Amino acid sequence: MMPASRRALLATAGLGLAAPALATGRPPRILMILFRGWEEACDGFRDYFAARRMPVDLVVRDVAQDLSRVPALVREARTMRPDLVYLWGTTLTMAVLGPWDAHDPDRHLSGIPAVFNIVTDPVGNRIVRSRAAPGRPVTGTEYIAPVAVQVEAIAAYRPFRRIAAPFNPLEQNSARVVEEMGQLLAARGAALQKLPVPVRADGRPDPSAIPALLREARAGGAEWLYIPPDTFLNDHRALLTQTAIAEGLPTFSASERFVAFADGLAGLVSRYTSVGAFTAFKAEQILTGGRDPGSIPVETLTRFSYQIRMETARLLGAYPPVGLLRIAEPV
Amino acid sequence: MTAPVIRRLVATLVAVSVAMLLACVALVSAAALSAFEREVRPALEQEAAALGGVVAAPIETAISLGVPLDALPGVAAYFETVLAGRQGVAWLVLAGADGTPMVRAGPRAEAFEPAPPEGAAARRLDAAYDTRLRLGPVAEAPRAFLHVGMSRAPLEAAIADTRWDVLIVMLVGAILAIELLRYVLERAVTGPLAAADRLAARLAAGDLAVTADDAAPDEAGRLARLANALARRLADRRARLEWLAQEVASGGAAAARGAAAVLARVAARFGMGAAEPAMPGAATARLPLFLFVAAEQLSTSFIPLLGRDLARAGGAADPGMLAAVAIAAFVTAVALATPPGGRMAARRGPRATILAGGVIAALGFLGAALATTIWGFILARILCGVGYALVSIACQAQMVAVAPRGRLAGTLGGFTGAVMTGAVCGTAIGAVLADRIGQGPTFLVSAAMVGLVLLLALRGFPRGAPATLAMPLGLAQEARLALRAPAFLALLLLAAVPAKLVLTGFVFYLAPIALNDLGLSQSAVGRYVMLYGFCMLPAIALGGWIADRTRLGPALIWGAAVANGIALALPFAAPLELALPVAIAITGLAQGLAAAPMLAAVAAAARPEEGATAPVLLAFLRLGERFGSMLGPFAAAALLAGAGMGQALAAIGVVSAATGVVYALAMLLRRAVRPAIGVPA
Repeated sequence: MMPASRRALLATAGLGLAAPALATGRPPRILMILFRGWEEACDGFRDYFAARRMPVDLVVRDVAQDLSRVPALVREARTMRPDLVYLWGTTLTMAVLGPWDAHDPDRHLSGIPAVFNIVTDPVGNRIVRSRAAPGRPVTGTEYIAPVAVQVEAIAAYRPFRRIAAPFNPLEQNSARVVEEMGQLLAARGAALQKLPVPVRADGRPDPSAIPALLREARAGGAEWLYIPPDTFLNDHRALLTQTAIAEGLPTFSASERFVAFADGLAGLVSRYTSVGAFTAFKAEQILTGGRDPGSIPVETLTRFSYQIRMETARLLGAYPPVGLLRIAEPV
Repeated sequence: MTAPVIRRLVATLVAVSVAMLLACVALVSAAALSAFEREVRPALEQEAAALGGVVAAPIETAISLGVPLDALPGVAAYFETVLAGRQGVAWLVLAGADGTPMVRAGPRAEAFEPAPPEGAAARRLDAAYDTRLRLGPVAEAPRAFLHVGMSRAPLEAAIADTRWDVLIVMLVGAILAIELLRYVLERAVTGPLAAADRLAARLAAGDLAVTADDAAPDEAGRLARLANALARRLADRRARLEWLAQEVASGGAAAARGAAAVLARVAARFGMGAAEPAMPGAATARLPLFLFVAAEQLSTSFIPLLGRDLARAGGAADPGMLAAVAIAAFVTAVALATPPGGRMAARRGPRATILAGGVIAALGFLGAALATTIWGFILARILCGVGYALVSIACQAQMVAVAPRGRLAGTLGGFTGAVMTGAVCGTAIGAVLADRIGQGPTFLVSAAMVGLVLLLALRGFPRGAPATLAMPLGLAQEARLALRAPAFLALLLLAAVPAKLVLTGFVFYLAPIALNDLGLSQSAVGRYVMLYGFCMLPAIALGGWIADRTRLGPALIWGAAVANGIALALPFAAPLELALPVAIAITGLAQGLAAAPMLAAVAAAARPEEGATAPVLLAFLRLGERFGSMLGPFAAAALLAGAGMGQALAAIGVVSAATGVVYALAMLLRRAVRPAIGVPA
């Protein structure tokens, strides 16, 4: 056990937060709080430490998309006093950390450095004050390409005048990306057909509504179906992408799983394992480099993969232009 | 009687030698140019294969992913993207397995001719070298073909440029051969023959005091020794006759009167002047001058660039201005060193002057080769300028001293001819040298050439100062004397200075800018500017010939100025790309024709009795010309900035034509006044 005075000091300064593990010689303990179970980004996070031969003690907790479990996990963290908290996903991160400018120490995690992974727009979602200076002992990574770049990537595959975008209205990050996409398309004289998934009486989005939404998109003249970063749609990605093929709609997604692990046509994505490794790099800076998390900028990978599922292209008769094949990663 | 025969023989010898030289160079060049294509074609085909490999990669990917090529979108756009950054590619064609073109792109795509699948992988078409790459798995039949056409246009442009280079080298080689032959023939054949001819004529006229240069070990030397022995024997006889006359005179007054009458008749028959060695010919000065000017001009094409680079390396705020200072420093040094050079040539002789100038210039070239700062470079160029002034004035003085009576204009035309041929050869070869061995080593070549000039001067220039060269006076006194000679003043202000204004303002400043603005390459601009020198060379000889044999000299001077003015009006009557080269050529012809008459006019305007000798006036003329040369670019630049290209050309043309007309009127007035006051023409 460390002296109480030192603990108080370290509770306010990210610089010393990792010192307990270093001082005692035990591996740093990282509490990983996941939103929908262990997946590739978690692999990348774990494998980074293994590759660096840096022992870490990973304690994994999964809320299984149930945010009502968050308060208990926050309490557990306070008791456990891990050296670092790892948070997966935008919605979970917002629930655990709260807004940077309206932080409630009773409800939200405090006093422990945190890194987040697979998060979109952390500034707009008020997780951090700015990307360059987070404003709290929190840092992390983004994983989707800037929306404007995604629009250009769609146009490089096939020109368009109208795009449809289904999304879960209950996921703030997804709604924000769709909103930004709408503004960008309007600026270039194209239209975005927003397709919020209906919410059932139990307060959850209704997956059975997906085929009807896609028929609506087709009838509305959409030439592309854009899939934003959306946990609900990810859970139903097979239904979504297969229905799109049936409707003759090419899909373009912001995240990897719709192409790599479903039948989506294309996407400009960060590999989840790479994003996880990049997040682990930031964690290493905190744990062994003695960096204050608030001084570590929130960043995204500078290179993205343009993934194309060739079988879907064949089924849709929508082969990529040959110039795209120079840079694309066929799946 | 023998002179025309000898001249014809020499001309024939020169013509045959140069013709053989040119024929050899032409044959070798033709062979080299045909080899050029053989050497370049494989490189182009390699480039096509490398490019094709890169371009084919995504198409191969599409094939390997099972994409049917006729359903593969974006091929044309992809080809256009590839072509956008490449100049030499004539086409990219995707052809099906049967060779039928599916997609074509590129500037000469319409010239592509389909090839059968079993045809050769590389073939030559009219517009391009076509290289074909097969697409699809190696173990299977080809699925498609990618054709890469490498345009022949850059190759043909390179061959055309090389042809020009070869032509320039041939011309320079011919000129060099002519200069060397002229020098060798002058020293070994025509010089001794002419000297023997003069000696015989003077002996025949009774001049027993003359002696020939008998130092040569060849037949000419033997002839000279025999002639000198003959002259000595005749002189001995005369001395004996004089002694006998004295003996007879002692016999009485009548005998004395008789002897004196005989002696008077003998004295009248045979000259009794002081011994005067025959001077060497003008060629002794012409070759060193030619070589020296060529050495100086080797660096003409890159001095502004080198000056700018050195200034930049030193962190100068305005490198372009410092580069201009380097050029101006040279011209100023030449201008300031010319009058003292003239005095040195008169006091110490051309030999001492050319040796001093050569050493100073060699130091300057060495300094320029080793300079690492712009200030060091400027200092080196000042030394080069001083050396240039001394060497050129020494050669000119030597030529004046040995000019045959009545052939001064032709001899001085030879001076201008040597300067011009040296300038043309040096500029042309210097650019090639700098390309091959670098700028610093080119200065070292200049220094080596100056070393050769020094050797020639040591061998060919006689010691001491020729009696015909008067001692120049101080600059201020020279100016007073020059200004007191109205004919010279008119020549200076109305002909010499405007001519240099046109040369540096139009030919060296406005014309290159205008040609460059038309989109011509640097080498093409250089070739057009060289038209001036090439046209001027034959015109100088022609002008000298005309001035020596007719009274058309003044007409040539003012006619040239008017012709310059008319030439500069051509851009208003014809497209610039035609008008400018023609105007440059006319300027070269006109100024060439006027060059020798202008120098003859200087000699004619001399008033030796008042101290305004020909060398003094010549030195002052050169000074005035330097002033015009310095003024030209500045005036042209100001006119260009203020009124545009057309107006700038017109303004310079008007100045030239107007001064020419005024000079003509002045000459008419002079001719009208002279008979009236009884002054012999």
